[in-house]
Amino acid sequence: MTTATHRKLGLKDKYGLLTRGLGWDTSYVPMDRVFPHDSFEGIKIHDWDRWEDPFRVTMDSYWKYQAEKERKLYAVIDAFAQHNGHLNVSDARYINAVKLFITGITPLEYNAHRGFAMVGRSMRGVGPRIACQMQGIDELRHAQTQMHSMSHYNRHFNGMHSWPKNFDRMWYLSVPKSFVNDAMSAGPFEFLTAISFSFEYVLTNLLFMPFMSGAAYNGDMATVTFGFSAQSDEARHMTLGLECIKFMLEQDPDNLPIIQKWLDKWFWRGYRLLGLVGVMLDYMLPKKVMSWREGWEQYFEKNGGALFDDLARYGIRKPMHHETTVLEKEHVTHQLWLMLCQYHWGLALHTWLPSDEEMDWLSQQYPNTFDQHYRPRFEQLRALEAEGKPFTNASLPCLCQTCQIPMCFTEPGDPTRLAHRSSLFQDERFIFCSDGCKDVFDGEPEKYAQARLPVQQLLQGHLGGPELADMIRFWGYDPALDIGRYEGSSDQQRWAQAKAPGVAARAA
Amino acid sequence: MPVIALEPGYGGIVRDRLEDFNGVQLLFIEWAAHPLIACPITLPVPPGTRFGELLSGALAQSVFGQQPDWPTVDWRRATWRMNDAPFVPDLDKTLAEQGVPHKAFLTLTT
Amino acid sequence: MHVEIKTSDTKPLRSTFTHLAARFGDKPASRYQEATYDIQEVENFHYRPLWQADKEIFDASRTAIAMADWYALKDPRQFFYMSYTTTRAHQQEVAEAQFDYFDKRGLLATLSDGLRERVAAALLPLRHYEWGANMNNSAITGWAYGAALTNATMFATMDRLGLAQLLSRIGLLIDGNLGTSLAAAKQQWLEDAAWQPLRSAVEHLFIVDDWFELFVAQNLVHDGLLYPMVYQRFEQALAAAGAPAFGMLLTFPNEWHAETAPWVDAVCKTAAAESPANRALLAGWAARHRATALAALAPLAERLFGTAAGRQTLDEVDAAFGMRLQRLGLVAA
Repeated sequence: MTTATHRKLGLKDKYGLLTRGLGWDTSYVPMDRVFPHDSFEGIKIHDWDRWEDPFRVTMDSYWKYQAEKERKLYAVIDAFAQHNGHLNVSDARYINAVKLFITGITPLEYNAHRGFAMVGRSMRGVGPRIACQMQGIDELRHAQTQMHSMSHYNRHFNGMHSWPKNFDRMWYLSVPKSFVNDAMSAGPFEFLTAISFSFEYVLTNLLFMPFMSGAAYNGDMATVTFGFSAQSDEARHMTLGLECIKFMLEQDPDNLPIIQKWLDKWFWRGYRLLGLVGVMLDYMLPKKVMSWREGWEQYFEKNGGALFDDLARYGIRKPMHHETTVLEKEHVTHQLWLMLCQYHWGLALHTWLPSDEEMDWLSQQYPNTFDQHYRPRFEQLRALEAEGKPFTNASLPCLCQTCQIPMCFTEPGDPTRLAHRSSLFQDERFIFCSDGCKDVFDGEPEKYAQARLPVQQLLQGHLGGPELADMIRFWGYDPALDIGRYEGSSDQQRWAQAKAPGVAARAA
Repeated sequence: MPVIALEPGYGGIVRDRLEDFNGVQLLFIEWAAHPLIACPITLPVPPGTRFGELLSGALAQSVFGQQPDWPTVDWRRATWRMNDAPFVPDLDKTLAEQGVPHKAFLTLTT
Repeated sequence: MHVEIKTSDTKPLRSTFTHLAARFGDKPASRYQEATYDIQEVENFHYRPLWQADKEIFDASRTAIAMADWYALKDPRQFFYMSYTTTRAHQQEVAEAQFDYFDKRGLLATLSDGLRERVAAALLPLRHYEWGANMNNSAITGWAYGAALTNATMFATMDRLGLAQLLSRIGLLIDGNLGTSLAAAKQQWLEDAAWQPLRSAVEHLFIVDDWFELFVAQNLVHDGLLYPMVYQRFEQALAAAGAPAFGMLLTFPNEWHAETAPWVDAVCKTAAAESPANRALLAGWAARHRATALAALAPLAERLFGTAAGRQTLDEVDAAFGMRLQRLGLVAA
């Protein structure tokens, strides 16, 4: 019955009733048995009610607004396929960015979906659980819409047809796979710090913007439409990331060193992973959007700087080795592309040497490094190609134990010397590309010693064989279609035919 | 500092011990000042390989051996580091005999 | 006559992704197939979970059920995110219109005070039951194996939140947006004798180890008894008592259950048909949780329908459920 002394609910209170008000403290089964995972990491939460809902969306609104976005997105995906929109991209070389995305990023979205469902059950607080579950279904949306957006490309280009198997078995895809396995195998609070905060907040623009803008600039309507459609989801995810970190920091000062350690680790792991995105930005896009250097300056040095200044009041400092990322920003992408080019025989992303025009753009974007260190190498490689002796490195690379990238990075401050570090653990030696990766290992050696480094796995016979062609098939690729340089590839030949109708097809 | 896990005893798995490689050990080898070679290489070699055989065999067949200056390398003047310490290899002794362990990181300067 | 439009000369290299061609042949796959089959990692995990060191991140051994192909547990509704949200948005639009109609016509006032209290007492505490179902489906989505199942349980997880919110909104309709009815409902859930067996059953589900057992217990057994008893039978009783309009507000839960039960059935039936061992496990779980659910629903049935009618209603609902188990092959041989 209503009385005059009762007041009607405001929006925040109403949302509270529709969300956290649903939960209760169990009495027939101890709460610790219902929530066995949310204490072991050492994060202390005294008052779950202090959680501030980062967004207020009830399921009725969610279904309505998301369905509307899906309707619009799929109208474009359908039109794209019907109209053979793949023919409108700038050049077939661009498609290697799409291949990188579906084999290396889409599986991360799928994992995030499962991970948020786990955390959506594991946390004691109802508010965080709901926010996590909503992200869990959002990430499934992203994974599925990406599969659908890129489906048409798979019909006309190579290198994507077996993407789930590729993610499990392809050597360079162990870089994203180990990254996301790391987050999935962590506890719930670390998962949130790693994915919600470090990846979906601090570094998100360095993943999202390059791919989506790259798509826009290069005529890929399917991918860019996915990007626009996902933007409001990403906005929700960012607010969750920020709330997670603030909530943990405000609950107990003892949480600070734990969170700082996670921030250090995940910043570095995310940074190394994003090197692949950087090389895509600088080398794979026929129409350039911006350089990695420019992106890092904008999105990390400037925006990230402001963020960490804001977090300083909690005692948070900038992540360890952030200065290295600034020192390296004019180097890493060139080092990565040069490495990928020489491993073309085992790569399902096509590679090519940059044109004069592209090298001039690189000179301009990298005034302190490109002409001094990298243009000479590209010119040397070009000369070798012209002589009919294109450079191939048939030796297996040394991989970093943590990030699993071939160790092509140089000493910060001395680009003439390759960098390596090592640690001993249980009488075994482990090798790292950098102080950042070594620190990650040293923080939890029992965890990182387990990794299945692809080179080592290959040498043990676990990645197919005995011949290279057998291995390539084992990894889920077709040696004739998916592997090798862009020049002479099926993608290139078909593109040339598609773009020049009326010219007799070249003999295969 | 040990890993923080739900239950004690987490870990203990290493997937690239010597015994996992069926009679060979791994060497990670870098050739300084050779920028075309993007990164150090991984070489599987039997521990009973003499160092001189490593040079004329596996290393010669690797990407190192394809470099234009390989044939003219003066091995008596070449310097080595192993696991970040100076190392003077005995070309007639095996890897095992002169303590070149599994997953040793070697840097060659010529 | 058919008008042809040529868009280009290029012929596709392939009809679909390799894993789909392997399953369904060399032809374009459906959206559902592309978004479901084989998309979960299966091997070469780099690190064991810190929270479960004896398992991999995705690990089929988290359940005693064994399947040769976990993707046999497909969803007959063929839900992927787009078709799921579109379906729910449409249902929500209808529900919204019903709530509006009910509200604007002041139909709540046509319920006697006694009937209104009966409705509040019977339905509103179930928002916590829905919340329990949300937790359980979230657990399955995280730790089960194979995207065919976990995609569907992700949708079910959010459905349960939506249902909890719908029941909450009914409460706010009853108490004029004060929230008092929900506070009272929570009190009942926590303290009222008639609700304790159900709350205890729900809390014990939170600690079920085997996610497939949890799926059977929550989605098949508990829902399979509670929904017919409350959302169908009680709704009918309300209509008989002179409040037929109220049933309008329960359209969504009833339709949801009618849509979801065939999915749950398909999952259980397929798993049971796979092997005698699976069938024995599933039948055992169904029997055990059925006994618990019936004991939990008995006091509620009495509350809703009276002593004799309550017992009879529950018997009838249980008999129908028994037949459902027979159809699924989930009865002990």
